[in-house]
Amino acid sequence: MLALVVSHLLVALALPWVAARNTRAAFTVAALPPAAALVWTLGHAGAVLGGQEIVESLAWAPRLGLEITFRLDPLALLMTVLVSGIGVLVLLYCPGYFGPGSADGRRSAPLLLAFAGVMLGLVLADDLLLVYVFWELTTICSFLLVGQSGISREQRRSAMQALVVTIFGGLVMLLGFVVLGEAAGTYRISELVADPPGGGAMAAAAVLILIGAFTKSAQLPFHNWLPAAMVAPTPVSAYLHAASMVKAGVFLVARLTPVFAGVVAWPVLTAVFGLLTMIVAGWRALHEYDLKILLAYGTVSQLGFVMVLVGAGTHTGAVAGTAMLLAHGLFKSALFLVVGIVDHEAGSRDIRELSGLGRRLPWLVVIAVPAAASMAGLPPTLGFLGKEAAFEVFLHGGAGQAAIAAGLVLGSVFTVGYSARLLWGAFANKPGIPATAAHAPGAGLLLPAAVPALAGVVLGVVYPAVDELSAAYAAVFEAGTDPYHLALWHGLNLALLCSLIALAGGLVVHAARTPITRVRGRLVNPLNAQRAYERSMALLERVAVGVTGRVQAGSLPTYLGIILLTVLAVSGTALLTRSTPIEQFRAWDRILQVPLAIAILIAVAGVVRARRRLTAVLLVGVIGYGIGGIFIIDGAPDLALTQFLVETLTLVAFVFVLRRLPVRFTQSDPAPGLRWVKMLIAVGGGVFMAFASMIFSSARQTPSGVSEQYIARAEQGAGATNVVNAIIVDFRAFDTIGEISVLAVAATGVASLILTSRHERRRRRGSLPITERSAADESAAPGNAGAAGPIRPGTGEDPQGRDPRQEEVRE
Amino acid sequence: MSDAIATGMLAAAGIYLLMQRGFVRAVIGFLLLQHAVNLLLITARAPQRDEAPIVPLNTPSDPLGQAFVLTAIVIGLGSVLFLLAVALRYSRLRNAAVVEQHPPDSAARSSRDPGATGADGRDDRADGGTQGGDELP
Repeated sequence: MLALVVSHLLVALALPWVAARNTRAAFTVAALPPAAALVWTLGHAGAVLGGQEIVESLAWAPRLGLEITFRLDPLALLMTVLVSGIGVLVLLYCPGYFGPGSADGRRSAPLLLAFAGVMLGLVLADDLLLVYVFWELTTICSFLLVGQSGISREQRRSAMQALVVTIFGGLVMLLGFVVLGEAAGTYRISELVADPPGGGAMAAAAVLILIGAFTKSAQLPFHNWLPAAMVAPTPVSAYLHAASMVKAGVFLVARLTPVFAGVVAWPVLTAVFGLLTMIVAGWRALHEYDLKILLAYGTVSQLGFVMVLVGAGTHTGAVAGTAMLLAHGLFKSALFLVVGIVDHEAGSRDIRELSGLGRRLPWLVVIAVPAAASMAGLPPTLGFLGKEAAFEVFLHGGAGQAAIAAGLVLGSVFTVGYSARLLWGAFANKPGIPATAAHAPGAGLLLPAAVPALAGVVLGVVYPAVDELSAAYAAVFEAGTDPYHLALWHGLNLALLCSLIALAGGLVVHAARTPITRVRGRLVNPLNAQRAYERSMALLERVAVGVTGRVQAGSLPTYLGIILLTVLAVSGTALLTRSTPIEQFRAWDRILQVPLAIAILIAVAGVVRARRRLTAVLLVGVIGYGIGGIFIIDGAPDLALTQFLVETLTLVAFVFVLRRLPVRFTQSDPAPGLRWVKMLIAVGGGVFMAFASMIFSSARQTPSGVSEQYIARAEQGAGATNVVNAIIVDFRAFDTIGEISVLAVAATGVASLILTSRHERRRRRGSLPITERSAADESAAPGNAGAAGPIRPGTGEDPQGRDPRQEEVRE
Repeated sequence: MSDAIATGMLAAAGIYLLMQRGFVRAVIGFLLLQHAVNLLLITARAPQRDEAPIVPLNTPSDPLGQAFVLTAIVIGLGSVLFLLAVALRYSRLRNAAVVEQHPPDSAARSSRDPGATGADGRDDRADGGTQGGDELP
């Protein structure tokens, strides 16, 4: 399985080269890895349905317990068939849609394949963290595919919205994963399902993970990114935003429902938000004129529907959920591809412009009708099976269940309504609108759309196959005495009645579309998700600008002040509330310390008050040598030697720099009032340091174990009598290498800074116009090229006239 | 105690100078702060003994802190030299008044919230070279 995922990505890496030469070939090549994945998965279908699971694991950071684990179980099987199967079809459809040599096509081929790879990884992953990684990778692919060239503002905005919303959800979900994984002690999904953890943390994990799933599957109130993402090319919408990526949220809920069986919030939240989404988006879809947007709201609505089912946590719910998952993937991708063909051949997908296409494109109608029938839930399609099962889930419970069932019926009414609207809008003869001209689509466009549409019908007829798959996933849940099975005919029962109500209601809604749209126009719409998103983004930007402006004041003293105040507040508090008392309180250890300390104090005071730069620098030298003296007294001769040497070098460097600077310090303090604040902070810092010094020097009574070992081993281990030397060049030699590297870097920096100045100076000095000079050269050049040239004023450095600049000019 | 006072004084002066506007004063402040930290490391040894850690030894002072400070001194030299080179370059550019406007920089500056520009929000070129100084924004 790992090989399959990796092969997708590798081929995707190589694909740009192919795409640059031939887009058709690129899409054909791109279809190969998903096809391989499909064949491989179907080859193992029998074993998986028989209860066997295929697991592959690669420990890539065993110390951290991180591993790449893939597992093919019934749910993964279903999703793989969708992801890879639809992937192959969409990739084969692409060349016809994009046309040869289109830039979008060149860009999309590798991206679509990469997406297919990461999506495959997502559905096969058995590790929560791995799921998260693939989850975010699909988001990135979606961003790139929606944004395409990014030329139009709408593309950029939509891509950004999809990215922001789903990344936000993904991060929240990651938190949930961590909570869940830590509560259970494992991140393996199969282990979590086998032994679900309990405790209060689970409710938090449930909410966090659901937020992630809701954003990805475009549930209320995060649904708006999906209709916005319809600016993407239609094959991309068909694949990412109908069949696979948006399914990830629902898939995740289906995966984790057994884990959260004990959490009350899980089914409640999925039911409430799923139902709301189903009804609201269905209502929106009834009024859209753009066929693609209509389908997008339809997708949102259906995802809400599936969310209710897979979150229910019952055996029947699982059966219905998986059936609907499969059904929706098939009919929605088929319908998107059909709309893509309409758009491609007729040049429009606006209901108000299309008319009479049914007669011109009969084959397209043949494809669209079964797909729409599956969406509306008509027998004998897979959609009908799923919907029957779905009503069955909630028909045998209390009032709450009945309410959900009623909501589902209402949602289904809308579903039938917009299914009819889609067919009518795309193909019907509309009075008052001239018949739309359209080319006949080629088989390359029709076939990929026809396969999923037909599959929806065929699978509806041979329902035992789907039932086996659904039952295999649903086996996790308690089945009861009489488990539900998918079938076309369950006898005259309540579920069938619900289906009939939905069908009739939907047709009525479609027939009454004009008055209903008028009613909608009169309704006030206080909550607009798109406006909410835009407002929150604008608010975020304002806050960011405000915070940046305040925090990044652009003033060094401010930054330093803040840092120091933090040090004083945090570390200072720790020092004051310490447990170590100052035990050895002595004025001095050796009398010689006193005069040295006094000298340092005086010099320090002088440095602060100095007006002339040289005075300050000389006093700095005094301080440095004083410190060296203290080192000697404190028993550190090596330090003292180094200190003397370094201090001398520093002095020399300072003097070199001071040559170039004014004699006195600039004494312009723009804010004299702040002087006292600065002093206060400085004094606070000084007191803090002095206090720390006293505490640190009495905190420890015995040498640390490391020091003892160094002292004990210096002579035998390093052959050195000087322990400090042994540490520097032997025990901690790597530190010293690092130190030398730092010095080398600093030296490089100093050299380049100084050399730049010199180079510039030279350039400025020789600012003689080049034309004039070269003319002079030419007159002088013949005959005496190597001899003494004319001496020019201004250059002055080279009487031979052979500075490098001149050589350049001659060439 | 006397070490501690010296440490505190050095630190206070270092911080004060670092918060000044002159570049060279800031470098000096940096240097003083560095001395303070070195002293702190040396005095934080245990036990408090004054004999150099050279074999043969009876009561050696802690060699580990010394090794650290030795490294710190040398690194400090590198930093100070680098800062001095920057100071040199900086003052030269200011004096020459030829600070080239770096497009991304100026874009960032103008895109900044006008009310939130740095406390003195002025352009480096406007007063460059008049004082011949090394002031920092």
